[in-house]
Amino acid sequence: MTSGERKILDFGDLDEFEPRQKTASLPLERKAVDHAAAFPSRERDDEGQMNIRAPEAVLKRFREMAKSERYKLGAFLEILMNAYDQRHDG
Amino acid sequence: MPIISFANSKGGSGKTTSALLLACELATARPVTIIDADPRHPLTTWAKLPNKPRNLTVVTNQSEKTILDEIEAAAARDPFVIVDLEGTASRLTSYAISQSDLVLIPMKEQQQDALAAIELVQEIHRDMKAVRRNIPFAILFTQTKAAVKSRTARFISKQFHDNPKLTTLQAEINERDAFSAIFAVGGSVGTLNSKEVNNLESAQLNVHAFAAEVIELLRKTKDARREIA
Repeated sequence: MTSGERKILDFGDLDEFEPRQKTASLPLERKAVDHAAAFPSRERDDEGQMNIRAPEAVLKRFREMAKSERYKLGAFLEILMNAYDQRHDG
Repeated sequence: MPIISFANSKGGSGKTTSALLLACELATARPVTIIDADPRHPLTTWAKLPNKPRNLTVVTNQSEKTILDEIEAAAARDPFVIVDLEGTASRLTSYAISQSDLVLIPMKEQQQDALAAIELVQEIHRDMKAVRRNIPFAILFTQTKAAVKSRTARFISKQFHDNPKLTTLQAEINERDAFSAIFAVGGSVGTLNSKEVNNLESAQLNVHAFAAEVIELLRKTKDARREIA
């Protein structure tokens, strides 16, 4: 249909469209999209790097924990810090 | 409930204009939030002009990291959320697509726009796999000639309309004085003065037909989801 043909919008029935409730799955969906998307991030890269001196066993444990959950080391470090903060607050 | 994203990685394909036309039309009946995710923020600029519909909230996107939260907050508040995306192939676009009930792909009847539209369709399929649900999408031709189309325009348009794997809207956003005017003077096609804008009534009919077809598509996809459930 091009512009010349009029089709009346039935606004009354738009009541069937309601706001949606928030879900808890957003972080998971973000992660899933990060894995699947071919479109790259255009955000400015604000990542840095640090060396951590610790016993080999601690480093090995940290790497293995991150790997088993398929997190990068930096992302897993943030998860651990958040968990520490929560426990500290609680 | 519907979250409608306007996406095409090609700039100048008519995303912002068509998003605003639909938002203003829907806002005559129901509350609408439009998220301005174009880094130039054209809708945020438009919102500062007079005659913005009372039912329409404009949210300025902050960054790729905030888009999901912005969409979620808007969808919890208003029944209609429209996302005007940036004209680049970016992760922000993928995030918005992942939350959408309908992705509209505005494009001019030109080869560059067509290639970008195809690239976007491929990305939508990847995002569907990521979130494990169907994300309906449709092609919307924009800036089309209301009267006679060129041979190239007809050729490109036909390829999309004839493709059984694609939904292409019958309604088109024509190239019209009124659609440029709203960005200069504010408001919608419903608040423009017919003495100052050429063919205003045709523009209003054009927007009406476009909105009616989008609503029809939303109802179809809603019914399809209900049947699956």
